[in-house]
Amino acid sequence: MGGDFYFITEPGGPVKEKGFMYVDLYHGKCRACEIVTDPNKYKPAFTLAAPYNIWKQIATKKLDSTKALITRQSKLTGDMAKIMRYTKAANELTNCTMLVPTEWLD
Amino acid sequence: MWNFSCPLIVYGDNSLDYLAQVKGKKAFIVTDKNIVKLGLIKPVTGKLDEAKIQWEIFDDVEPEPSLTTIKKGGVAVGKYQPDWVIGIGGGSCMDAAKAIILLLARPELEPESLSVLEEFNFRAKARLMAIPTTSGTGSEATWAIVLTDTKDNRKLGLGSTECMPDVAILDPVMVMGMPPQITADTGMDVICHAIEGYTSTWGTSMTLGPGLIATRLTLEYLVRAYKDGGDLEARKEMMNAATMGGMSFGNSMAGLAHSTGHALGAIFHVPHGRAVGLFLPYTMEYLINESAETTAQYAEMARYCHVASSGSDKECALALVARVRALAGELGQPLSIKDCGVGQAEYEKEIPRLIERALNEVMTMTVTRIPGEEDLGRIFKYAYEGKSIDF
Repeated sequence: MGGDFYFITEPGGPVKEKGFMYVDLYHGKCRACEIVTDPNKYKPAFTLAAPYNIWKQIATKKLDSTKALITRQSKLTGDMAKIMRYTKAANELTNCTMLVPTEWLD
Repeated sequence: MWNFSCPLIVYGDNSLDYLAQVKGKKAFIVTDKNIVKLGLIKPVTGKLDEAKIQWEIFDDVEPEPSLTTIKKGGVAVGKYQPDWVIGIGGGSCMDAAKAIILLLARPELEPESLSVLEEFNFRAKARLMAIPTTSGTGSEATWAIVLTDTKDNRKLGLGSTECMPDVAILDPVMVMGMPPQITADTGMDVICHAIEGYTSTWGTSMTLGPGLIATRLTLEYLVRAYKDGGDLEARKEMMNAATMGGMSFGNSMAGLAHSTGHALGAIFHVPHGRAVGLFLPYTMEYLINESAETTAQYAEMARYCHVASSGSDKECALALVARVRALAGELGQPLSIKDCGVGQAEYEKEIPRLIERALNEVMTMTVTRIPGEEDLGRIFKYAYEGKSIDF
């Protein structure tokens, strides 16, 4: 599967400004990953937005990423038909996130 | 944050009389030609006539409703502009009704996009009712919609939390004529929902009760309903069990028997309840072999349902597995995929596709032991041969 994303952190809690991370995934490889200050830099196929506390819960496996979508705690835009066929990939993306050493803001 | 939802459930003798209390002008009935032929629509339209509600019937739904049929239904409902959409039938008809009411609100969407990620707000236009004629998929008490992409031979797990029916009517008159084979197939779906809902990693104390009771009712009443379709008590309790099974898994998630069963059904066209019921004991064994948590839950169920009264958690859990197999046997259900008449060479060729489909269902992730490709492949092979899972 291929798809590029903006992962967006909404302002709230320790986060004062909207944050954008661009990630380009292609058939199991991450082709690009960068923090973006100008959201117009890319036009990704998907955006996934959530407040900081929700991202932290997802990244620490306290909240399932699909449950977050179902309860509208996170919001996804893009080709829904495409993304609904790649549940495993979405699950692995969350698992990969947990492997990244992270300093939380709170 | 999580939530629990269910419809207003009107149940028991003469519950179709509730239709006389319904306020509305036009009802769009979603069903299939067989239900019409069996005369099961007449009791409903008779009541709608009494309530002075006009109605139109869309009876093009096929078993395992396709995206194409839903699109057609979307066009028809858009022309009719009802204020009620009523699904009458098995899970296929009820799921189709849910999908069609979403298209009433969002006609620009393709059916494969009818997911939790969209907003619909269809209640500004119409409300949703479900009247099951099987016992059953529990679709009357879930927000899930399962459609089939016939081009890709794939089942799509769709739905929106908005499309939990407003009302479910469980009138036993609608299921009394169910033939034994359908009673058996849909009944196995009930126990699968009940057991998987109870043990889902998305489950909470809210979803345990319905799953537990649905399991006990199925073990007590399904064979009775199968052997004697006129057994009113058995039919009523199986209707209740089906709805409670829906309440359990619909507010948590189904599990591995459903993801593997969906894959089998999509590619080899095995009826849903027969497929998931076939996989249930194998997937239970798979979980027992490494998950102490799920083993303990199975043991609780076994003790509560008088399947086992003493023994370790593992012994009681395995007793529940044996009981599920025995139930399937009493109902004349296949205990292996081979018994379904699927040829071995053809099956082995499809294993990669079966694995890929099962891997990409949420239900594969909501169990305490999540299989990868290798384990899924072995489960599919063992289930073909009828070999108990030993890994």
